[in-house]
Amino acid sequence: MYRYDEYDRALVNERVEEFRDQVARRMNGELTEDEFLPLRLQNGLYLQKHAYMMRVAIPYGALSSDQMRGLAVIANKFDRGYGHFTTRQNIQFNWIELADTPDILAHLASIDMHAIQTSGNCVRNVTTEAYAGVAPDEEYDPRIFAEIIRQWATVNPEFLFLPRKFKIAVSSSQEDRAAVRMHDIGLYLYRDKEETLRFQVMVGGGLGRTPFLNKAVKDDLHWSEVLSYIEAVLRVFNRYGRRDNKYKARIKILVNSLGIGDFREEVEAEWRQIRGSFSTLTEDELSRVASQFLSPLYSTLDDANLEYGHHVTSNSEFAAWVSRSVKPHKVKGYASVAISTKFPTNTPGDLTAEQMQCIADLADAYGFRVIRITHEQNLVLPDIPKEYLFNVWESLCEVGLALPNVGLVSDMIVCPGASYCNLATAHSFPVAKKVAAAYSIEEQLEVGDISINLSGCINACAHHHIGNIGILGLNKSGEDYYQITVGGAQGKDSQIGKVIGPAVSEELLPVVVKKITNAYLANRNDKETFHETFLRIGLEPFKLAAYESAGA
Amino acid sequence: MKNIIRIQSNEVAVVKADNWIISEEDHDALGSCEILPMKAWLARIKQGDDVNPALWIDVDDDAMELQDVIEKLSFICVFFEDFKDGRGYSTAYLLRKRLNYQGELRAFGDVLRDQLSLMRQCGFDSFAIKEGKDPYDATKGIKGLSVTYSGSVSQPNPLYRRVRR
Ligand code: HEM
Ligand code: SF4
Repeated sequence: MYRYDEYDRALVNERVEEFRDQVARRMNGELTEDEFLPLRLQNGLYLQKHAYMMRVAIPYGALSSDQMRGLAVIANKFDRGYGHFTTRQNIQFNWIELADTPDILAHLASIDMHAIQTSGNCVRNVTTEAYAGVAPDEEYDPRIFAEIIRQWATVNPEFLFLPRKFKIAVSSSQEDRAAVRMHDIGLYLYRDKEETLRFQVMVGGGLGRTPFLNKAVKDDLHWSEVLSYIEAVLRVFNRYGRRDNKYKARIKILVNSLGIGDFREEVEAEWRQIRGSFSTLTEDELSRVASQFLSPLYSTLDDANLEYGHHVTSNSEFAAWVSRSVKPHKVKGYASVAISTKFPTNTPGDLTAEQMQCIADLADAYGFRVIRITHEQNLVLPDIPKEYLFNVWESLCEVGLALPNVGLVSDMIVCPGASYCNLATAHSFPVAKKVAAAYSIEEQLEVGDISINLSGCINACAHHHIGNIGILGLNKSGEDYYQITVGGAQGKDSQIGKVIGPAVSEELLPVVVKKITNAYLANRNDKETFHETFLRIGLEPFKLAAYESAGA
Repeated sequence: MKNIIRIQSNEVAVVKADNWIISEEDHDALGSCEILPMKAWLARIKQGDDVNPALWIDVDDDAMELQDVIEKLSFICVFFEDFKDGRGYSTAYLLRKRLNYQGELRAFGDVLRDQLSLMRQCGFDSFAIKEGKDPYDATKGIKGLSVTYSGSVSQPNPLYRRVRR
């Protein structure tokens, strides 16, 4: 994974000192809250319902075991012993004191981490796939470009006060596990017939109040021109994006009001002025960054491991976990292990300091000291020899992280909602827990792979629009109500879900969700996924099932 | 204008006030130190008037309209109505890089210490600090971080072209 050199380190250290001074000036009244606000946001600091929240970047979702331990230290020392992993490869600490924040940032800097631009109207943490570098279906490691873009965007002086936040995601796999289509800029990296790396550039995705998937702007961008192209998009956005209305300020609104054709022309015209010049990437820089992401030195292992096989056949609990959590690896004899942070024993995305320690220890003992964070709010140990899978499972059992539910109903993606968030219109964790509890594990296995996403308000932090079943918390005269969408999907065939009808009460929600999955079971052919069934039969059968029985 | 910081050949100087005056709109009998809004200035030029080589650009003005007349200018002020509105940074970029403007480029309005290094990197070389703020204190904001990854107006080469990492 990427290691800081003297330049990276100098930058984060100076940034900490700059912020230390800004916090001091805020505390002695030299800076007004209005003046301080964007400064703190661009250093990851939000003011939530009960306290400050600090959002720390986990670039492209990769953490070393030492970094994970460092996060555990922060959780213990400055928070209440836990942290929340988000859908955007960040971790949030919910109970932070303003006066502590410079020390927290200094601690992060000491483990090569930062919170720069994790919030604010600027280019945010660049995201990519959690399985990057180990996935068998990838053409090139997308983290290399994610890192190059991250550096280019970090404290880039022209683009720190954009009309609105700006999110970039990169994927290079057949499937797209990075939800690329709902980003302000989505990048698909591929090799053309001559084996040259090129990007398909898509602009204008975003969820929230008016959800849009991004649209193709350029299909065959040479890899060396990716920075100049992003620069052109950002300059057009900075100049022409709306600033009068927060809800119309994302680039998706600009793209859709101009129309993709005119938008493309604007970008291309700008790009013609700057291409081929300073921002062109060099082979040297690409290989320098690429050299940081070399595969670890794998051992030569047999594909099958007898002991592992024995455990699978003799221990049904282990086998159940293996069937959900153990993912194929490009290297023979190795596997990736997905760790669910979900119900019933955990709260989605939350890990205690003890659990963080345990995962760090496992990465040291059996892996190559790295951990990945997925946008489903789960974790991954990417390189575990099969012979150690049983040990990993046993250790995870001890800290309550051996849930056999990855990809199932109870592996819901859930934002913090009214538990912490100022903007929430409804609760999310307690309600999601009830939905999960409505299913036995057998029932979940019967339903199989499905994504259920629950956001506590229209901002859609849990990506409810692209969940196979999306749930949006609303407030109807003081009571929590939940609007349901069906048919959302992520990946190469991303789709925004459709609302099935009036929102349902908190009490009815689990019943209604179950009716929807029952409608799927009743209608599915063979091995069809939920989404495939939806595409074949449409919304109506789900709608009927949901309302007739619920009496809503 | 008041509360001025100017950077000249890497020297930072604070000037309590200079003689320039921002005019909200065009009017008869312009003084020799008045700075017209861009649109009014362009209208005067079109008429063939002899006006000051100075104008100010509002937040939603398009600086590219100065394309054909840029050599007539030696002093351009860019208005920041709200420091959170970043259009002025792109305006400065376009003036410097696209129109190759060489004169003094001043940010005025909601101009604060914590954004000065960003403005400097985008090509501003003078600042009228917001009234009520101390310009001497604000000079601390000019330097910024010693490491910049991307290129900018003041340093066109990105880090990977500047140093061997
Ligand atoms: C608790 C503090 C949080 C606040 C105040 C907050 C605020 C917001 C707001 C206002 C938006 C909408 C922006 C827009 O559409 O222009 C948004 C979007 C988003 N948030 Fe959060 N959020 C919080 C926590 C989280 C968490 C915990 C996650 C992950 C689980 C998250 C992930 C996202 C994502 C992925 C989007 C993007 C949706 C899109 O592209 O439109 N946020 N957030
Ligand atoms: S979706 Fe709404 S409630 Fe949930 S974290 Fe985002 S802003 Fe808060």
